[in-house]
Amino acid sequence: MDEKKKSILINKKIIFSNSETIANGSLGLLALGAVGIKAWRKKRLEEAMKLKNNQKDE
Amino acid sequence: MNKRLAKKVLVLGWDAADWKIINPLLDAGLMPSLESLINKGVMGDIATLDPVLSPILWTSIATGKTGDKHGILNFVEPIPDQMELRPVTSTSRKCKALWNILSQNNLKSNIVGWWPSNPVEPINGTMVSNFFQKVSSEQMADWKMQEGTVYPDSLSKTLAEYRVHPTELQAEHILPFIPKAHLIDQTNDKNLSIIGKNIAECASIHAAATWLMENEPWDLTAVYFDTIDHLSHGFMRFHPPQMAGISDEKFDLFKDVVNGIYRFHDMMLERYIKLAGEDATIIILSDHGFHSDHLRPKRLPTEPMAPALEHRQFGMFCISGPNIQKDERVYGATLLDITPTILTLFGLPVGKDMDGKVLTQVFDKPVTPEYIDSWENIEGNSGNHPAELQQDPLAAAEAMKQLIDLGYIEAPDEDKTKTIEKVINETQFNLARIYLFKEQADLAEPILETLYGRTPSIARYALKYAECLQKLRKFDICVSVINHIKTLDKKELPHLDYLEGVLLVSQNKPRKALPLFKKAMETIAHMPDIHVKVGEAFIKLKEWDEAKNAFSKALEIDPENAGAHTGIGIALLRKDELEDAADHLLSSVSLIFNNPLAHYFLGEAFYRLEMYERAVEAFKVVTTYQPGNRKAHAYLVKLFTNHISNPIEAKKHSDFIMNNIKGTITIVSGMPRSGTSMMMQMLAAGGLEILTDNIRANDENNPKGYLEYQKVKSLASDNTWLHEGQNKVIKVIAQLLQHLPSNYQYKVIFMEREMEEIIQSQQIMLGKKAEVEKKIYPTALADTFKKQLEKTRSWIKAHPQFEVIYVPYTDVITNPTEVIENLSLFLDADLNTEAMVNAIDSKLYRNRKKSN
Repeated sequence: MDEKKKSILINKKIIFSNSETIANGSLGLLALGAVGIKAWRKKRLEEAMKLKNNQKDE
Repeated sequence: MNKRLAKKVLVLGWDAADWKIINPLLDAGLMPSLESLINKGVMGDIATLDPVLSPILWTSIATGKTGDKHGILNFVEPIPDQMELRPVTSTSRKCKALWNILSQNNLKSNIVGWWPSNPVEPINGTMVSNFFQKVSSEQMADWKMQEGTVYPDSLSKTLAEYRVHPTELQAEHILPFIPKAHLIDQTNDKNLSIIGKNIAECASIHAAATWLMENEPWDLTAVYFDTIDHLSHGFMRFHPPQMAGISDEKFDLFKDVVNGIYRFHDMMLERYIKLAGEDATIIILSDHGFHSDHLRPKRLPTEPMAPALEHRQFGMFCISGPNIQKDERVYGATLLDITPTILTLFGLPVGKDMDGKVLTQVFDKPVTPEYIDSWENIEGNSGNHPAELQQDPLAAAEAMKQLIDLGYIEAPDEDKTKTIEKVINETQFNLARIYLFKEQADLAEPILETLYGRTPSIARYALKYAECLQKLRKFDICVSVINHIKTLDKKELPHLDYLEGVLLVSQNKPRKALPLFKKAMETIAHMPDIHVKVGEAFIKLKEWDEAKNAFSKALEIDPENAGAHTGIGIALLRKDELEDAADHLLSSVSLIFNNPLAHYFLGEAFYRLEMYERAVEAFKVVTTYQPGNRKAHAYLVKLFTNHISNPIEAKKHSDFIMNNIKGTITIVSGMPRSGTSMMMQMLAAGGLEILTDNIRANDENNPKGYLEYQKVKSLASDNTWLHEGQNKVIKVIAQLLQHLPSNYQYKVIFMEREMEEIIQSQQIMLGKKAEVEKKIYPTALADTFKKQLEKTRSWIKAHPQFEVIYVPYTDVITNPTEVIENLSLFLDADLNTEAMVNAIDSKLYRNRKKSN
């Protein structure tokens, strides 16, 4: 595993929460069920688009 | 129809969930959703069934019936009309499930992921099968959903989009389970993939269930999750405390997985509670527990279904909602009770053909369930599969085999045939285990006999067959099976000494069993059952302190061993430590309610403690499970006559005894001159009541008396007088045993003596002393007598109402104390040993064979 990936994993905050307002991408969204999956996938798409646009600008 | 007690019912099946993992998490505040339900509801253990195999168990939960009735008996089954295997399907279920009954009563259900539920049934409501979440392709784009996965089909496309593929998951989804995931070398260690796959499948089921709860009307929603079970099988060996043989590195990496998956289930539960609403009744249960402490198996044998050895007998159960008690415990629940209880929640009657009971103690007001004979007899639109889809896969496989044998169909290759045969054998084995669990050894016997005959080298089948024979008291065949087992591979037989010991105890030879148990302890002292069996041996020997010590050892290993609680309760009862005895017996029945032995002794404890109402409760439970238990009925007569004045109840039980329960008659038998009179004299001296008319006087052949009853001579033509012999001892020669009426239980003490000695003694009695002195031996007569004896032995074996102990005449003379001890156990009577020994006059042992 390269060093960059390793550091991302180490730095990721481990979140285990029961709150419905949990940050996107965590287990909390999966735990919400159908609505959470929809929100999580939408957020991932938005993040992917943002990354693509940033790379274009560079 | 009864009043409906639940507006909506939500059932969450958490396969393998165990209070032993949950309790510490609750204490640490890490499962707050479950805690909220427990605080406003009822919780308790739920006893599993045998065999502990999930598709069988979840179908029992959904039907209220055992596997022999619902037909789901294995993980896989032959595909009808093909020599192939497939995962077990819903078409193999042969009775209605809860959702079918609700359908035909116009109640809507959402059933998600139940095992087995593929193909889905056209119920009133929706169904998502247990194939929905299964990942069948490496890439999400290629992940097709097969037909029959969702009902109605109009929802297939919508729900398919909510499935989660493992490739979608990110680090945030895995790290809570393995915080040091970055240290894993994924080329050699597939554990991250395993966790990813299980989380994805769990999320898929959860998504479908929550979508349906929000978008489809429902009265019942039932959702099944297998994730706790799968991850427990994979990772419980890494759960704290660290097991011997687990490296520090692996322990450090994976020790959080099990707690993690429970916490994730609690997170999902929060969502369910919100969606279900305040007025819903929520039930959470597992089908079995999972060993998580010192009882975790150190290694698993290489045999089918070996992972089931990691399962624990008690799962978890929790119910909360309107009309349910608050902050209470329930005792004695089993998987079979869920459907009857849910039917009662909906105000529907329970089928009498269901094996479970309504958990009436969970309701906050008294509930009187209604009953009908069977829901199978009630017509209606139940949403079952059409008749042409329903098939018995084993019968279909047999039919297929016949076509192959007849040459109509090409035979598959040998490997495939062998695999299918193995599955069929294993399915039959599971059925036999179900019958044994239900105390129907007579139904298990032909199955096990066939399996043993077909595959004598498979130790598991042979061991179970031996256990079955021991329950049926077919000791001779049992011994021959055990002798065969001894020739098999020793690696598969760690417990043979234990089994032989159990056999000896059931043959009332506990003293001979103890050395075998001691030997078995060299390898299995860590298992509570060996200590329970030692305790049971000491109970038979009436050595109460030794018994108590043995059962205590079992409880040290496993405080929830119901057998140990029962045993220690009995020992304490006999030592007159009544309150402690009642305490342990209560613990036993609260763990396993279906335990008439424990209820009986509990009743006795309460009676002696003068807690008469509770004694009545206990004895009534006994008579429910064992209607023919004479002693329990007799206690109830005493209670209702002398302590809780209720002449109607007293008469009811006394009439029942009179009309239905014939007593036990003790018979002393054998050939004439084999020692039968001596045995009668001994038993009379020992304190038993003899049925005799003393018409036949003493003489020189029997100076101490014959103790006979004249009516016995005409037994062949008239046996109507046998009621005079109830609870007494009668002498009946071997040749007349077959004329005893079959509606009594008999305990037969069969005297054995050398034929030469018998003949000589008879000759002398007949005044043929001269012939004896001339050594004229009537060979033909001897042969005839021998054949008659063999015939009598076979006849006794074939008649289960005869229990027999064979007593060699010479043993009585040379080792009377041991013989009397064995008789005491056999008759379950307190015999006066000294008086019995004194009744023996060895000088009367005449006509000894020369070698004696």
